[in-house]
This record gives sequence, C-alpha cells and structure tokens, in this order.
Amino acid sequence: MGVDMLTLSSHKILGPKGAGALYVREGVKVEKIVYGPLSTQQHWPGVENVPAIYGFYKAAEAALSRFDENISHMRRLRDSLIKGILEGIPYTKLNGPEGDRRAPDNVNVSFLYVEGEALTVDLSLNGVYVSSGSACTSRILEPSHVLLAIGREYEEAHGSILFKVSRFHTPEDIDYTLKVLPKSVDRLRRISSIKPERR
Amino acid sequence: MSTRVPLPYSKKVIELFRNPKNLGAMEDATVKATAGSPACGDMITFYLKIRDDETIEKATFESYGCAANIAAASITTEMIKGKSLKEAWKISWKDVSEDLGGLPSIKFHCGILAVGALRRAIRAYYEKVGRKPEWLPEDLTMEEKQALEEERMLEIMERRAKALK
Repeated sequence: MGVDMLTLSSHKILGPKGAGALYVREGVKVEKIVYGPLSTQQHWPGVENVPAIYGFYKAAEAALSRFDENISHMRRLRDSLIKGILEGIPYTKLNGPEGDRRAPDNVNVSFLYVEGEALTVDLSLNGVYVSSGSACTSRILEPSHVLLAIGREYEEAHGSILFKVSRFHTPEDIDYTLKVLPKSVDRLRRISSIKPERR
Repeated sequence: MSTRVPLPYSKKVIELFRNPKNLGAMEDATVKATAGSPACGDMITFYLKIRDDETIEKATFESYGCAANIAAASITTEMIKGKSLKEAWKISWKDVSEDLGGLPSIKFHCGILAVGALRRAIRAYYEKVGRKPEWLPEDLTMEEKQALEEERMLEIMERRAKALK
C-alpha cells in the first residue's frame, strides 16, 4: 500500500474495544506520546490488555475467513439501505461516495430538519442502534469534524446518522430499519422548529 | 463520530421525548420567541398566549435538538401554564432540570436554552405592549446570555468555515 503508518481498530471489525494495532514501516521513527515505566517495547508503556488483544485476533480471523463473500453481502445490504433511505425519505443526503469507493459496511446519511441525537434515541427505542455526527452526541459538544471537512454544513452534520452493516445482518434487518426509520424521522420533523416550508 | 455511550436519561425525559406535551406552533399566540439556532444543533421556540392580567393561558413549543432539549422545552411549557409572567420569569435552568428528574451535566445547556427562550418571550411581550415592570431586569440574565453566546459563536465559526472553502 506504500504507507508509512497504519492504524487498525479492533472494534471496527467487531472485536472488543480496548485493542488496536499500529503498523510502522521500517525506518520510520515515531515519537512517544505517552511516557511511563513498565515498557516491554519502546512506543507504549504499561501492561498489554491481553484479553482484548486476543479478542482482536479472533475478530480478525473471523473477518478474513470468507472475506469476499462477506464483503459482497455487506455491500448488498449497504446499497439497499442507502437506496431505501434516499428514495423513501425526503431531504436526505448521502455523505461520501457510492459504490466501490465506499466502505462496504458504511451508510452515513444526513437527515435535514432533524437533530441526530434525538433520532438515535428514537431509533434505539425501536430496536435500531446507530450513531450520529451531531454535536449533541459528542463528548466535546462539537459536530463531526470529518463531515465538516468534506464540506457539509453544520446542520447537515447535526442531522447525520451512521448505520453500520455487518456479516451478521440480514435483508430482513434492512427491511425493518426502513419500516421504522421514516416514522421516527417524520415524528421528529413534526417536533422540529425548523421546517422546509418555512425556509 | 465519537463512540456513543447511551446517556443516563431519566424516565421523565424519555417519557416527554416520546410524548411531548404542548407540542406545535400556536396560530393565535400573543408572542413567540426562539433561542439557539440550527447551526448550533440546538434550538427552541416558545409560543405564549397571555391574558390581559399577564398570566399565561397557554404555552406551546417546537424544538430542533437532542432528546433532552425536546424534554426541557416541553416541561417548561407545563411549568409556566397558568403562572403570571413575573412568576414564570423566576424559573431557573435548575428548576427545569429538577422537574425533569435531573439532567446529566453534559445536558445542562438544554435547560439553560429553554429558560433563555422563555425569558426572551417574556421580554418580547413587554416590548409589544410597550410597558416595563420594575421586576424585569435591564441586564440579560445568565440563561439569556448563554443563548446569545451560543448563537454568536456559531456565526463566527460559520464565517471562518466559509472563508476556508
């Protein structure tokens, strides 16, 4: 890939939180950012989180077995969810590209006239678990810097929702989501103090 | 996106979020006031119907914001029903938080915004009728200042963002 460094997160491949990996190309020097004793290797002090690392290893193993099959499966679910949302719900915008240049498991959509945190709560009350790039879902009360960096307006970031599909999801999960989602969005748009017709 | 940890919302907040009381615009409102902005991701609009004796006959809200924001706006409309403007003025963000069963600290700003919007509405009423009661302070209260700061800060950030594009 020709990179100098690469980070990998365990939880992004359905492994446990608390473990990650850093690839550093030979010859690249990295400065320490955390100092302390008990160092078994030069970059990071402290005792390794062995259970999490083992979980990370098992997650990687599982992710790599039947890899192509899983990727196709995720892409199909991803694309049917994207289509269902963009065609079925007005004032929505896909964040990021479609098709091959898009991560197979990622559906990130901005719902205008709705705030993201409220939508994540409403969806969770209906059995659908997602996250959002709104300021109110961030611990520092700032909207997703990634969405702002790709040129989205603040409102679009506040209304953004991230759905992740996995090899464990089924087309029925997508159907259920597409049943529940428009109702939640509608309800919150009725509560909202900003409405398309008032603009 | 930061990892989202589900917030310890109280039962009351979830209840009001699911079934907000006094929701919707009021056609025949005496006054209407808004605090916050869509750019903040935090915005509350109150509609008040005020009787001649300066008591609040009816109050409704609309809100663009998180679950706590919606609950705070809704509970505020319940708290002020039937009260005189003088009594309604005294409601603080802590009262709102308490009535909601306690807001998590990261959500205090929702109670503050609700009070900011309410006080704006009360000021708007007195401007409309051209009177100024002695109990109405000249200077903005903390909750009103916070709303203003939020609105201004976003303006500044948006301008900076546009300049970079």
